[in-house]
Amino acid sequence: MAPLLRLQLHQRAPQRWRLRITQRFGSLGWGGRGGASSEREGRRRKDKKGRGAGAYGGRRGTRRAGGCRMMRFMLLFSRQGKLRLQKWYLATSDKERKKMVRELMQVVLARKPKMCSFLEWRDLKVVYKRYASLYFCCAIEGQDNELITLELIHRYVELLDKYFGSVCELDIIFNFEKAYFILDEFLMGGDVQDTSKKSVLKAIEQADLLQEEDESPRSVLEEMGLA
Amino acid sequence: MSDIVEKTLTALPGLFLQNQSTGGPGAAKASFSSRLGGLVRGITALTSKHEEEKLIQQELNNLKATVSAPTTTLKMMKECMVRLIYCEMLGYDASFGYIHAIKLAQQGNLLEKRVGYLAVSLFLHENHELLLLLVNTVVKDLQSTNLVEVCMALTIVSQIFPREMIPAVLPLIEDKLQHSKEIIRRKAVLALYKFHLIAPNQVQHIHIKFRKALCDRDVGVMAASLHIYLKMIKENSSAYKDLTGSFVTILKQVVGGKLPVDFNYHSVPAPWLQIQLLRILGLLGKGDQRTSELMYDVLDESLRRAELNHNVTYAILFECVHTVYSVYPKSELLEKAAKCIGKFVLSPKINLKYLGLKALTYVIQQDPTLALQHQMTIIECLDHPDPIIKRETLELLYRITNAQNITVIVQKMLEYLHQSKEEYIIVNLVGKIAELAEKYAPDNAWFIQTMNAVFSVGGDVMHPDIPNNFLRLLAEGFDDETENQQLRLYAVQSYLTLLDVENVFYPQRFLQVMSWVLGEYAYLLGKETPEEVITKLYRLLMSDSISSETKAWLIAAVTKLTPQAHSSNIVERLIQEFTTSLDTCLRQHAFELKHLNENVEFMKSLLPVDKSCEDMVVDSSLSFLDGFVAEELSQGAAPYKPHHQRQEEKLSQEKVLNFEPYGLSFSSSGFTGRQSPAGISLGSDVSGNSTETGLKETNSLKLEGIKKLWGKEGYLPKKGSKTGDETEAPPVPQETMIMENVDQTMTKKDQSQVPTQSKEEKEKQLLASSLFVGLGSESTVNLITEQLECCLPVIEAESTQNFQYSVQMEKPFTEGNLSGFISYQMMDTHSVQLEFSVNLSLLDFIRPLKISTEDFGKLWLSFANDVKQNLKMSESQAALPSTLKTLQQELRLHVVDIIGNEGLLACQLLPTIPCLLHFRVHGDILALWFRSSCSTLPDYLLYQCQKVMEGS
Repeated sequence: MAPLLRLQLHQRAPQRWRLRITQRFGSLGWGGRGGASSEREGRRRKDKKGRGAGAYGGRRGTRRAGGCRMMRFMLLFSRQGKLRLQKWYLATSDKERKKMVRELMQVVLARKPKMCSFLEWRDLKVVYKRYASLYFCCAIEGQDNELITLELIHRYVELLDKYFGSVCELDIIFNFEKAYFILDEFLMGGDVQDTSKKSVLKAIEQADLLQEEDESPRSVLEEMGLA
Repeated sequence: MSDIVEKTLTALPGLFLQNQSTGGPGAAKASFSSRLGGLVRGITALTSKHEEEKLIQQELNNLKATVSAPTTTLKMMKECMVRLIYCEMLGYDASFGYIHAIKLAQQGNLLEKRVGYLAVSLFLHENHELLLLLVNTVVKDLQSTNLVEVCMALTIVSQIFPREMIPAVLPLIEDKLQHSKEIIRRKAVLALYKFHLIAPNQVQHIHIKFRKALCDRDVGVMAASLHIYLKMIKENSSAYKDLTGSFVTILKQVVGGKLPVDFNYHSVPAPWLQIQLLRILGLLGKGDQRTSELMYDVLDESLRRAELNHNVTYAILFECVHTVYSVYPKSELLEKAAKCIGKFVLSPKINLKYLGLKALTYVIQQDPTLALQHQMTIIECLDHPDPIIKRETLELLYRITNAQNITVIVQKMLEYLHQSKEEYIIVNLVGKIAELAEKYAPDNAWFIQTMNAVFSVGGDVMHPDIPNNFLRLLAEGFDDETENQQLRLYAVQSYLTLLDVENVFYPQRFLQVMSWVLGEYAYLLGKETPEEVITKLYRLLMSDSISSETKAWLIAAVTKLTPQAHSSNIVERLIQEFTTSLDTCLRQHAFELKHLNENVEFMKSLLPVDKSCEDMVVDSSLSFLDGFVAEELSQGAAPYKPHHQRQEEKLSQEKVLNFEPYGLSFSSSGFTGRQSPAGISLGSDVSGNSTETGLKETNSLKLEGIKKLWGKEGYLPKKGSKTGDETEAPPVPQETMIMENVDQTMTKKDQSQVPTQSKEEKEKQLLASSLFVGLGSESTVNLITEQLECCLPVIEAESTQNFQYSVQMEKPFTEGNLSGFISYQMMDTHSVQLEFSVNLSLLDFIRPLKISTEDFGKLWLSFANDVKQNLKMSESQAALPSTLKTLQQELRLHVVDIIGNEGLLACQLLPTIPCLLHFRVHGDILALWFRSSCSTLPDYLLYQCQKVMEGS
């Protein structure tokens, strides 16, 4: 019974440990479809869209405003190409957003598992990482530090995990506004606001407490699945 | 959507029911997200995109009805908002909900407010007009005593906030810098950072407070302030050198683990903070030995401490290496940094390898030996299965290219190029290859072939400079002429071969390059070939895949080759084909070719061989027509007047002339008659008989002096003109009655050209056609007895002389008159005097001043002289638009802005005295308020204003 929708959090390369996932979705027929099936599926997709590869952006190109903004946008999408969360830190028109999301998803989904987590895409650097079935994807500027952005994604996943208690994709689908709140507490206008896990969660819980008080008698702990 | 997820999602309701009975945590989820959950499940149950669209459209319709219904509670609204966000994320338009999101943020309780703010930040971008409606809410929340509300307001401010409303919240946020809670201080600092990004001058005054934030006892606040410092130091590092010591101390403490454990990330102390500090140090130490020395220690320690084998330590190491190579070099540190780069490059982890290559690329120019050390790794990376690694390797190679290794490197680049399909990559790589090829090409053949590859692949997406530079290189060549010819010959041959290949399509740009080269240099092939080349070009022309722009290039090439060819069957066919073309441009080219073809000698002289770099002399003044014009004039034809002159004459029947100084040539203080050409367009129209003469004099006008600006000779002798005895066509003040005696006149044209800046500017011209022997012009100004006298050189018979003067207004006046005379002497020694006089008014010197509202505001405050007056208007004008129109047209004011019933206008008194007008229409009262830097100008303008308002 291998839960598929688990965001695997790699701690250190050798001793990768998994955060326990709640059993609520365990009985849903996820069993038996472990890594193998996802591999297979990944390959099929690859065959269909083999063209997608090779689309990595150039360095030259139009540079939009700003200069030292840390991040341009962050996207979360599933392996099936469904957008789960999007946060834009630079004014972008609706049409342009849709186009960028579509293109980028195609490029990222076409990447093989062992490939580099960094991409040159248009005039941007894209840093992505896959956790279970979810891709986390950040666009930064060329001169930024890719590796620390990768860690930034990881820290965000850790925060989600701590908050939801073994987070899975469904948590994010059904509570995406919470995911946004956490992101806003962590990154402000595209810059790291607070790297201390404790204080981010404290801020979120503070706000949530209010919610509990006036919505239902449940406690925060219950809400977080820890009770 | 994969069937796995689909199944799961359809099974969810069952699960929720199940869990509800047991009351597990799932139940909470179910009740909370039921509506959204229903939507999500509904969507996933569908099989086609079309059905999804239908469902969401329906959902959106429901939502639309709900959010606009008055009975909807805020709680429901909050729930609706979540669903709207979801729909919008799926790519559907939910713009009807934007306003409700703002309302929710405004009215809701904390929770609803939070969702409202979130929705606003996701829906709107920072330039969205609705955002203005949020400003009040933000201000209110910033003043709230509830911490959560303040936090939310600060968060939204740092995400999206209209730039022009910053002043409304700035003081409130500044106050927050002293707040007792660190989270508030931190957010305030970040909000200010955001302001600094979008409107740096608005936060300049709080720099001192940033320093305080840097010294804050809370690490989070200090870290937040580093964002601002990084930005400011990036812009101007020298202003912050004094802070180097503080940054070094902070970094030391961080590296030494003095921070609270909270900030550790995988047992590395505050990595983000470290990276930020390293970047700042790198910028501060760049090229500055003394500052750099301060940081050597801490850099060394950072390199040493980062030993843990974890991504985040590598991230810090990478930044540290970057800094070590940015600051003033210290060999010991460089050595260590080089070792670190080695660690990256040799790492089996692909991400680290990538960063290693990136670091190498950065340092390679300073230390090329590093590349040698890692050459084997680099070679391996060149064939790496991941294209990103390959690409970064090529970037590295690009930096170390020289004349010896160019062929290999370009070869690798071309290989990569052939595999990639993405435009950004192609544009980028093609540019690099072209650049390298131009710099280091080992021989002609290689160069041409490489460029052929560049053009075939880069095609129509590459930067237009590439083909242009290439052609210029071919045309201008190097010092060695035979070398040049060989290069050109090789290009021609290679293109002919390429064109022989069947069924290959080249990009349009490449074809254009080919056609130019063939047109210019096909002669190098020898006598026999022009026909062959023409045939090939013709074949291309008839092909369907050629754009009409390229066709024009092709026809041009054919045109160049035609004079060299012996028989011209094909050319004739081409002419036939294209003189009926629907494309007017092509048709024109074809007609040109046709007419040229009829006169081969002429064509040869027009299209000389190998002269592409030489300028052709063209008589743009059409002076060859002068004879004809003079002839016509002597027969009594009316002289030519250019369009604008004719128009002005129509306009200013009253005023004889209106002299205006140059818009820009203010160096000379005075001006008298400005004489300007009858025809600027036709520089040679003879006979300035269209004369208007005039100089001016004023009562109150202070003509400080009349100074000659320039004169120009511009007339060519009349053909067949005879008569040794010179008569003169005296400059006539008014109009052209001079023609009577033109017969024996040497028509002289006095032509002065206005420095062409002034098409719109109304110009008055003086065209004195006469034989001047001398010109004495004197301005008799009532106050000024200053005489301006200038002697002009003796003018030859049958020549023209131009004189030009400018008048400038020193002090404002209402009306004035400028008069003077010209005396000249004929060869037969009797002297003649011509008098002239011109009326001038203030308005002749007023021009619109085009400024922005912002500038207006600044100027307004800076002027001390102001005049206010209320005018009563008649019924008919008592409306803003008509007033505005009058002011704009009659007084030549520039309308800067209109706000409600108020208007802002600006003008300037030439040369540079600005005057601003603020007016308000209130019933039938027009309140005028002038301000200017000149003390008297407002009064005069007010007078003019009154006059026009009465008059209209």
